[in-house]
Amino acid sequence: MSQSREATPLFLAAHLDGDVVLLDIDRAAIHLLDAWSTQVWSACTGKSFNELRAVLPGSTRRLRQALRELETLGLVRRAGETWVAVEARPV
Amino acid sequence: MTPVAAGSETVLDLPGWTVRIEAPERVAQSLTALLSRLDLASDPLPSLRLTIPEGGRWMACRLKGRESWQVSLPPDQPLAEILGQCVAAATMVLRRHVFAHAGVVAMGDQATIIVGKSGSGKTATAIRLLARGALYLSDEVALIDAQSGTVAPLLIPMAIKPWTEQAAGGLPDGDDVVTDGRVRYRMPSRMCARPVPIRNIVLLTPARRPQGLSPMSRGEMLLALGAHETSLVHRDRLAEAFGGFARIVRRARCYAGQGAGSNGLADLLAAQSLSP
Repeated sequence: MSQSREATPLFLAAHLDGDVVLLDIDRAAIHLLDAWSTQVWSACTGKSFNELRAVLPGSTRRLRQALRELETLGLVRRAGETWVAVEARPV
Repeated sequence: MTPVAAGSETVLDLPGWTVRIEAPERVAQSLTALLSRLDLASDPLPSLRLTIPEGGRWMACRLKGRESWQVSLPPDQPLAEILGQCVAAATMVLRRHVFAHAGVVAMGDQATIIVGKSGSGKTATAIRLLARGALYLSDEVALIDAQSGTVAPLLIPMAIKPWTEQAAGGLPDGDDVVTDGRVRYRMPSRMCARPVPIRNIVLLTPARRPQGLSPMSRGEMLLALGAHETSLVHRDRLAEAFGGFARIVRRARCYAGQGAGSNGLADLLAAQSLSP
């Protein structure tokens, strides 16, 4: 999970049997991403919404919801028309 | 360890930790008895000074060169709070270990860490496992060495309330070290004084069905540890603690246990602990 990401790691990521558990260092909060959210998060390497929709399974609505939730958690951000995942250092 | 009375101060020179107690004689004697088997030589801590005035309405704690704080004490059974503050002080300044509020026993030279909120049945479950041949490591705090994948003993007597004894079907073999009102502080006779590899982590949850033991994903367990009282509550060690718990959870078998303190749950846990 390190391609085209933000420079400063704000999160630590523990990959555990397909799940990803993330520690938000600034907020001292821990999040568990399920397989679908992990897939979306991993795909956010500077792709537009349409590009994401083309490479990910599931409906447009589901993808939009996942992006909204990841954005709320601070795990992805918009960069113009594209989506970029925030750096997470694996542990 | 021989406590030394210096004026009105009792100095407990434990392996790895010096605790200075300025308190009414009965409190100082009780606390000395409760802490006397602690051995923190593997993770030496700055000394702790406890001050409790006559009347025992409050206590002040000061860690050498670190924080100091003051808490009020309940008029009935204050020992639990006093002991809790001592343990909390120790967990604040651990360097080598990370901690989780949990009971710990060992079977077949492998440790089972029993995590749960206060009142969830950790002690009763541990007592049931002791009756099945387990060795006692801790009633309150799992001292985890993430590098070696082991849990170290924290040999403070079990705090057994009447309802815990009832839930556990009796008391563990051992001796009462101190009694404080209705709480018995009892040291089990079968204990383990060395670190033990971690095999199982069990999260006690409210019963969905009686006496069950369900596999829990490692991700869910790490998330659950984040919601409990662990080293993750200390901001200065957050990243280190997260990495440590991730390492431990990755190697352990994780379960959700229902029916805390029941024979059924203890049988299932004992079987898991001894299975290949």
